[in-house]
Amino acid sequence: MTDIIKNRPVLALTIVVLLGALLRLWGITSQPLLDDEVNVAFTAVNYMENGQFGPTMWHHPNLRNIIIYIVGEAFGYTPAALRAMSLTTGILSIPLVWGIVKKLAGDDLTALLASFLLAVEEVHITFSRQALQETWTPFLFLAGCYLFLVYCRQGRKPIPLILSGIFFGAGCASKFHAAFPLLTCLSFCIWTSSRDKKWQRMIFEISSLSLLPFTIYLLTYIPWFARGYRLPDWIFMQQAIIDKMLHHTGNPMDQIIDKKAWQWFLRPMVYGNFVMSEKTPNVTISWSNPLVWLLILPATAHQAWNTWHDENTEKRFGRMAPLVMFIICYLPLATSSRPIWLLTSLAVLPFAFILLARSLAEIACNVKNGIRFIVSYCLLLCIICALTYPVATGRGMHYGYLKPIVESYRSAMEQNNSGTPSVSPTAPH
Amino acid sequence: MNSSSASGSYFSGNYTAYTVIIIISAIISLLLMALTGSKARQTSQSVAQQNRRIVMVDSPDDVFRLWRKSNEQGRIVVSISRWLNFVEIEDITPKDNPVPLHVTNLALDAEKQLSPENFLTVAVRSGIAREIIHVVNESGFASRLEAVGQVEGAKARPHGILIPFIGTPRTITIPTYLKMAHSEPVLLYVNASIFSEYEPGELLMFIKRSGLHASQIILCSSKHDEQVSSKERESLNQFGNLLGTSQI
Repeated sequence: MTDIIKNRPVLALTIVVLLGALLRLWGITSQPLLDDEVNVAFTAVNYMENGQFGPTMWHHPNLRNIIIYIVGEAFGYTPAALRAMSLTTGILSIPLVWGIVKKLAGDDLTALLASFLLAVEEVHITFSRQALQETWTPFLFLAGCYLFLVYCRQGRKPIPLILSGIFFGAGCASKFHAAFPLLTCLSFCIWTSSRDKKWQRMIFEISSLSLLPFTIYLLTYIPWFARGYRLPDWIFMQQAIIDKMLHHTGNPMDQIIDKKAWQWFLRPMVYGNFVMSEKTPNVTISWSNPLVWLLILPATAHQAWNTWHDENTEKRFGRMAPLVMFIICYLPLATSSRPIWLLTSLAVLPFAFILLARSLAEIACNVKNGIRFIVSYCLLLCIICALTYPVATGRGMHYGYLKPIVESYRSAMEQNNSGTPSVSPTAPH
Repeated sequence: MNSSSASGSYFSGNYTAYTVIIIISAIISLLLMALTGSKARQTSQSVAQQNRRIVMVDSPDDVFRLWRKSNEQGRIVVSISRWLNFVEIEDITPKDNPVPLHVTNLALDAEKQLSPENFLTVAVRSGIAREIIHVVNESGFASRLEAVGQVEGAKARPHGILIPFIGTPRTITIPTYLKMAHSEPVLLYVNASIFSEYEPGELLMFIKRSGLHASQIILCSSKHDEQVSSKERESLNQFGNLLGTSQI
């Protein structure tokens, strides 16, 4: 195992990616469509053909609507087609995390561990298999981060930063929280360029990481402008969207879904969904694995300590980057007063896993039989993943050992679904 | 971090060139959006020119049918009525999640739920209206102002209530405060119920003062609505006569 990691890192990564792909693709065409996925298809058509938002998640940007419409019209609104983008971005996020760690001058073990943690992460698996934008957004901003690191590490050639701005723009057009890593990269550029007194470079960096993402974001509103709106109307609409997003409380019938982001790394949390398909209940329950999530904050503290004491500038940057990204992406969610669902953790998890992977790798290198410990830990995660995989993919009712757990959530979720109010805000008539 | 001073100077010319390209791209995208909206408005205005008229109908849902018949699209609607006629329509997406999924156009499906209480909602959902200005009477405005805090997304402003509907601009105001932001011709709907608190000449004066221009004016007597009195309907007729000689 150690030989493979040291001498054949790409082979090791390939194995991890294949594992992640298998977990995301297995039985995907037979997994019933959720209500959210059905509404996403209707919302996509409503947006592209009428320029209107809704019926679902109208406060999110519209890249999802555009992609779903294109894929749906080309290949039909089948489960596989609707989920194609989520599957692709979910799987490609695994090697992307590996690449980011390598660009941060990380060792092969850290890179492999970080990608492995993402590959077997239940929440990520669940949402890679749904036609929502939850895995698209982290993929897009991770790609933006990777290209940003290429720009920083390889002589600050313009093209990687331009591509980074495009990916960040697409990320913001998918979900707003892609703005957090974007702003972090932009701040870094302003700081280093002003320190180096490279004013032309700074202006280029500012335009690549602000104007360019804005342009990409704006272009996704072409169908909306085609209704006859003016630019001031667009500003008004953005304010309404931001207002909705800041006060969004979701389904008031939600009783069992965890909605407090500050607790993500303090206790096991759950996300659930329910749908009847061919008279069979399909309950999807996605738990945060405590063997991973409860180690995130200690790993963060460990990395902060090591960063503070690392005298090597290069290494310090490699440590500080994921630390800063994790804090900046997590803090706004953790301190938000409105409900934040577990699915939003995907905006934070890639950086959290890099921190944890680094801590684990450092411990493994400094402790006797450390590698064996890491291998055992990974095997344990695989076993837990295998045991909970059926319920994370909506098949828990078919497995006897999971049935009591699923039944305990099912009645609450059935009540939740039956009491779902109209998706549009109620207006006085 | 790798030192980039040497490569930075090498690329400084490129930095400027790419910055200019990015700025031009941003400006082009802004112009593209403005042109897209403008073209859509021009298309709807040319349709509107053919439909210029004053019409009297019996029921509010007839208003929608007239708009649909005359192919109105993407218009600003000014509704002058005691009521908002903005009851939300039922969610019509399938609940049994069939596969393959047959996805329909919700704009067309919305029209199947047309009723007097929701014809303006259907007008928005079907794409006829891209903005709605509700002009209500003062007592109705006061009660809605009090309820602003209870309605999601609603905001009180000095001369109206902003209450966007899934991003579509909506405003509630009174005739005294009515003022049009631009000279684009609107679809004007006047219901007899507004004359519970206004005289025909008074209302016409407010409309003229607002700068409103209408391509199509539909007057609704709400013939079968017991909440509308015969006096209000008579006032509506007088208003229609005054409109005939005005230049709104």
